[in-house]
Amino acid sequence: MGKAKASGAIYDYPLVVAVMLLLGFSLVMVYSASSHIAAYHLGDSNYYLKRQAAFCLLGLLVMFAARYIPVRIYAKLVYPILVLSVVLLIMVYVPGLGKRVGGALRWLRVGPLSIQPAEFAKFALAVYMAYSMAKKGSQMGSFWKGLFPHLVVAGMMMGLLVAQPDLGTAVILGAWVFIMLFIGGCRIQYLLSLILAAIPFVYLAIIHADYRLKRWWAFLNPWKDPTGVGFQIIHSFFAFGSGGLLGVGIGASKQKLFYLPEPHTDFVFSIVGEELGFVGVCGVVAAFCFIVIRGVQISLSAKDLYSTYLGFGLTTLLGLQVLVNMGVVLGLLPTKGLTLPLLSYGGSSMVITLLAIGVLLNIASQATSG
Amino acid sequence: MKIKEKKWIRFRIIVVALFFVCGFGTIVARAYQFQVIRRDQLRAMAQSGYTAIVKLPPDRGTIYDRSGHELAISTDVSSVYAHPRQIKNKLKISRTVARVLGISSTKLYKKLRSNRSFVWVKRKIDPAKADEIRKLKLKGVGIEKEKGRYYPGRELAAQLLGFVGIDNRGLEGLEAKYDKLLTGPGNELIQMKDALGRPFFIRRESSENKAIHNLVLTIDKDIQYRAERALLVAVKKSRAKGGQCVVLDPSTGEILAMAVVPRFNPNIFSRYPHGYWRNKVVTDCFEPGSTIKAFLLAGALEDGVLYPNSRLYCEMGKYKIADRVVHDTHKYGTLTVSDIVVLSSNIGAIKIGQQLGYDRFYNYLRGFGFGSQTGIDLLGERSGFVRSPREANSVDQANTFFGQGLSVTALQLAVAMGCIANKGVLMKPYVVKKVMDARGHALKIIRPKVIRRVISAETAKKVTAILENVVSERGTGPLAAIAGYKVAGKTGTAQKVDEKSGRYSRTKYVASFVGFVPAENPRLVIATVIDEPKGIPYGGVVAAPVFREVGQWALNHLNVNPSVRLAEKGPGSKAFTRFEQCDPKSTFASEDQSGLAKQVREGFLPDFRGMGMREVLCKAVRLGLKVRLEGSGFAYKQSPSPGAPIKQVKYVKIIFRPPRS
Repeated sequence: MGKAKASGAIYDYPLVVAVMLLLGFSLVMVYSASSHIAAYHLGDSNYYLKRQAAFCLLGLLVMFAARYIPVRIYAKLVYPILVLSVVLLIMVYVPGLGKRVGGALRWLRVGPLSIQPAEFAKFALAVYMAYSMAKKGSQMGSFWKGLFPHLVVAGMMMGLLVAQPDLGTAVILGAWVFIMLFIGGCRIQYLLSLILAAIPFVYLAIIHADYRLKRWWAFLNPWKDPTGVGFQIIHSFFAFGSGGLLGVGIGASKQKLFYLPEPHTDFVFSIVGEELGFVGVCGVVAAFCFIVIRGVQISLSAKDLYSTYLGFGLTTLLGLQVLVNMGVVLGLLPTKGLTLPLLSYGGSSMVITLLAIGVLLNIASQATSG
Repeated sequence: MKIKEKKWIRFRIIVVALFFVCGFGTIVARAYQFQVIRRDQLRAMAQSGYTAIVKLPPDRGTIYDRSGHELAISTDVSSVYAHPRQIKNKLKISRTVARVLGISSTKLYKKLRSNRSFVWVKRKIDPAKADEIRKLKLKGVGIEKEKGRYYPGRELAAQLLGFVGIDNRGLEGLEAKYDKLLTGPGNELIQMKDALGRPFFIRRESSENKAIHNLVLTIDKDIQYRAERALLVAVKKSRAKGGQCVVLDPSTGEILAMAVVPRFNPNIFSRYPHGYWRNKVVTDCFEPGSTIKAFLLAGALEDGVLYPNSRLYCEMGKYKIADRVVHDTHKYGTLTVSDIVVLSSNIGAIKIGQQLGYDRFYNYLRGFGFGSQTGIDLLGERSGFVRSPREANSVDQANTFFGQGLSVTALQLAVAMGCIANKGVLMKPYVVKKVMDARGHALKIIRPKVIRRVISAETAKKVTAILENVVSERGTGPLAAIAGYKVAGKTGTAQKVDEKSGRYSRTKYVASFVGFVPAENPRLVIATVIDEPKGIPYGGVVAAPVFREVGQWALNHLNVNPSVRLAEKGPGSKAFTRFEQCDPKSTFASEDQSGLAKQVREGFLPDFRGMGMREVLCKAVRLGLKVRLEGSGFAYKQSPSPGAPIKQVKYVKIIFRPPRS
């Protein structure tokens, strides 16, 4: 990575442009993917489009605000933020506040809106890890000071997520904590034993829930699945296959016509593949890859260790979610029910992702030329 | 700068960044594999794949009784299908399959010769048969699981529950009424072809995102069972066409049991005549006869035109209204209002009615819910018919006063009696108590609903006191009495209209009894209707025992404490220990009774001469004697003669004759 070009600029324009392009594209794809379903179930084909547009606007406001909020403030408020996120995670169990969708308590009802506390929890954990790791500094190599407190905090959040149940987000958080500990200077032997220790937990969580087992089975062998739980993934494959090199054209997807469940959320990338083909897929991957690389650059040129960790943490969190979602729809990972940040329909994810981008912009503006 | 000092952090960050770049590379590679290399194969499968979409019946919620016993459940059943295009030797396969399944091989052969890609061979078969087919491993023939409906209680509450068709949609009863709620997500089998052109199925939930709901009924499975048993016995004993029995909780309007005889088994509903499927408690009307006098009484007392002790002249059994003459079975002179109801005098009822006035009586009947639907959550409820004051001439009016010329449902009778039991407040009857989601959370709890106050609590109390006397020695319904509890009720015996002649039949009756218990704090209202009993048609003889059977058992089941303590038993009660089984009325024993009992205890036949037919029947049943009755009027001859040793008597023949004028 060369010199940080972003130093001192008012806005890191390459990052802003990439994000804005994806947001615009998101509106097109959400509309294309959801209009039939929205018209059929809700009688308004613009339903998801209108809401997604509102989420984008709100997210952009948050992003521009965050650009001017010094990142130090998050560090000062780290414990209130952490406590708030845990309270929100617990609040889904309060009757009347929690909203059950498809058997999982993942949403909080706030007036006409439903928010996902898990999204905020990710941000809170990123702030905590950055603050704490920067404070520990060279003590990160020690087990009790460097590893243990982070494991406790992250473990508690993951436990709350698994209870919702939201195993997917919990696993992503686990992988992300692993990455953060790695760059923070945690000893490799600790990290390896962490992986070994996590395996039985994941195994238990999987065999304890019937649908998770089914998802594994669908992942391992979607084609010969006797009970047909491979349905989603097969149709995702069909979407990509039908798209070919150049795609069938925007709006012309067949798989979104009730073959693919939730084409505007979890499987929006499949619709991109079908309507815009391999070219479109490459474009989206390139945009996300650029955002990740840019985020890493900004982190490397940050003015202090805390900013570096925070910027890098938020970048990798975004990148991990992107990779996992794409891996799922392409049959590389088991189905998890995770959305594609910036592209999929969804308010909580949109606002928190753009908040993260805003934080990155602030870090970029404070950077010292390296 | 710290970063410079800690170059290794920079190094690690770059390692992670490279990992991410590799990840994105993998994504692109995988997309390349699908979108460029395997493009044609996947596209062909996506386009030509759907050779057939087979809709499977949707899953269905469970119906529970009030304490969580399953009344209707959804189960996995196996169905046999075939891919006709895959089958080469169609004749041989159709013969083999037809033999195993016991179906016509020619019909199956016809199906297999069609050029369709998918046909059902036989749906919802025995698991054993499915195994047999599976073992044959025939190419192009397969087994698929689908959802079937099963009623574990078989005939239990069949008319109330109803049943579903082969597509799992409700056709009758609650299954039809609550079809939308009960129906869960449907499944579809999507037939596709793999790369080698072999068909395979993908099973998926259909796009309609329907949530499954379970119903909890107000029905108590055990009381329902008792009601059906008692009704079956009563119908069989009286060789009647059928019967109905409703049990409800007067304070809430909850239906505890709803029995209809003859019964049918909803698991194999198509083998029964269509008429058996109807929930006749709500769908069939009949003329109530004397039971209506309870409501006439309530109206008259509420209006204050008469008091229980007001005396009315009963015309010595003959009363002329316009060109008709109304008869009473017994000749009565002057009776109190109370006795008119207790003895069920028709002429007396007319006199009460005349005092009250038809207009007001009509309003009370409508107030009690007659002539309109009760609003129960069941399909096909009839509203019955009450002649409006404008349409009713003086004969119609007189008939209506004693319960002929108007029609009601058994449920209306029970609900109206429930109003008297509930201190004058009419409750809306209902059978579904709770709607639950698949995880057992209650989505909707149905609360008792007050319709209106019809009479004051004071009037209800007075009416109850009189109705208690109906179920006494003097009254028409002593067989409804339950040892230890005070019972209030009213009997009814109505002539049916002969369909051919359009006149009241002399042989076809509807016998009924509707009452509640315990009278002072009612827990149960039970209405029993017996349709066309042969032989003795009296409601007090045919229908009242069902009340006793069901009531006695249900009070015990509900842990209702007896209100009449054993110490309060009348004199001579010890004499009755032998007859406890046939004599639940021992606590109300009268002097006359103990005299009779003494005779029987000493082993001699009592003297029935001079008694009315009803009196004879009640006493004979109480004493466990079989009787054969001839003629009408009052008993004047009996064989064997009084005083004969009772052990040798198989039955007593009693001849009646009308009193000399």
